[in-house]
Amino acid sequence: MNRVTLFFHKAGSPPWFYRVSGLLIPWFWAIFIVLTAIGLYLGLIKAPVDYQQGETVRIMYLHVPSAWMSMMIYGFMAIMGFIALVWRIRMMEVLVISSAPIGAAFTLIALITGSLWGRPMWGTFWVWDARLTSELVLLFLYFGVIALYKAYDEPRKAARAASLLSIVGAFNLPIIYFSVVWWNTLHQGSSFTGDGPGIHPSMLWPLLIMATTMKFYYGASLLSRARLTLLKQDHRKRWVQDLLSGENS
Amino acid sequence: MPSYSVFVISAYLVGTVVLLWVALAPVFNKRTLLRQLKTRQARMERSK
Repeated sequence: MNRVTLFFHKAGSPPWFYRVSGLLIPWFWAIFIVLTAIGLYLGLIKAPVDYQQGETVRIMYLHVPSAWMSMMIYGFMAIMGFIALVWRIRMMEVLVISSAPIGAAFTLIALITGSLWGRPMWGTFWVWDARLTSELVLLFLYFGVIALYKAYDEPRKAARAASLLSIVGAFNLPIIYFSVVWWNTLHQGSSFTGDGPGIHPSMLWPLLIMATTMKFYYGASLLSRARLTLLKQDHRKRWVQDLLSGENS
Repeated sequence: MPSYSVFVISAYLVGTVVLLWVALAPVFNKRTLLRQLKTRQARMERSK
């Protein structure tokens, strides 16, 4: 068995996952805190004010990475949901349902920060623009996945239903991404095109650092939630009993 | 041009509250769950 196959076999084992994720989480949080401090310093203090948007451009350093994360997490959920349904890997089901609240949080942040940017720039908090509406649909899809999981008593059946909705809902991702191309929207087009980013490096770096730090937030948060879900699902199993006995002694 | 600082501060405040909530909720839930499981395990051992 090669090392990659061995890793996937091990990762499918809840006790192994629980132990290794427990080691990774503090590192993810540490990197997140350091990168966030650097990103916020560069974005809120060092980066210049935009000549058109003024100070509101600083909302971009939170809004854009959150919007990217909202789409990325749903994409991951669809992929993990597919693997969970086809190969019946339980850890993938756990990761799908643990990702949903984090994805919903990022979507909510993207929508609220976008509104707070839109009020001074567009003169309104909300318009039924294709980008905004499709992002709102994404939030409802996240809520749907969470609600569907909670609607079943049997956790594995619930996770499979949630995985299926994750796959079906993935149709919305290209709509969000291309909405600014397919329709004439109030929302601006992508800043990253094939010709390279149209942003000055003084603004690009804090944006990229904030986008990177959000990945570590997702990693730490996902592993914490997956560990909790495993404990809930396996509380009668031997490895959890041993874990509790170990903590008692 | 007005500074619009209130919008920037509100955006970061909302982001901080939501991200903190999502990060801390599993920590508190895990503590509660472990306490419940330990209580149940102790009760089962006493009844043996």
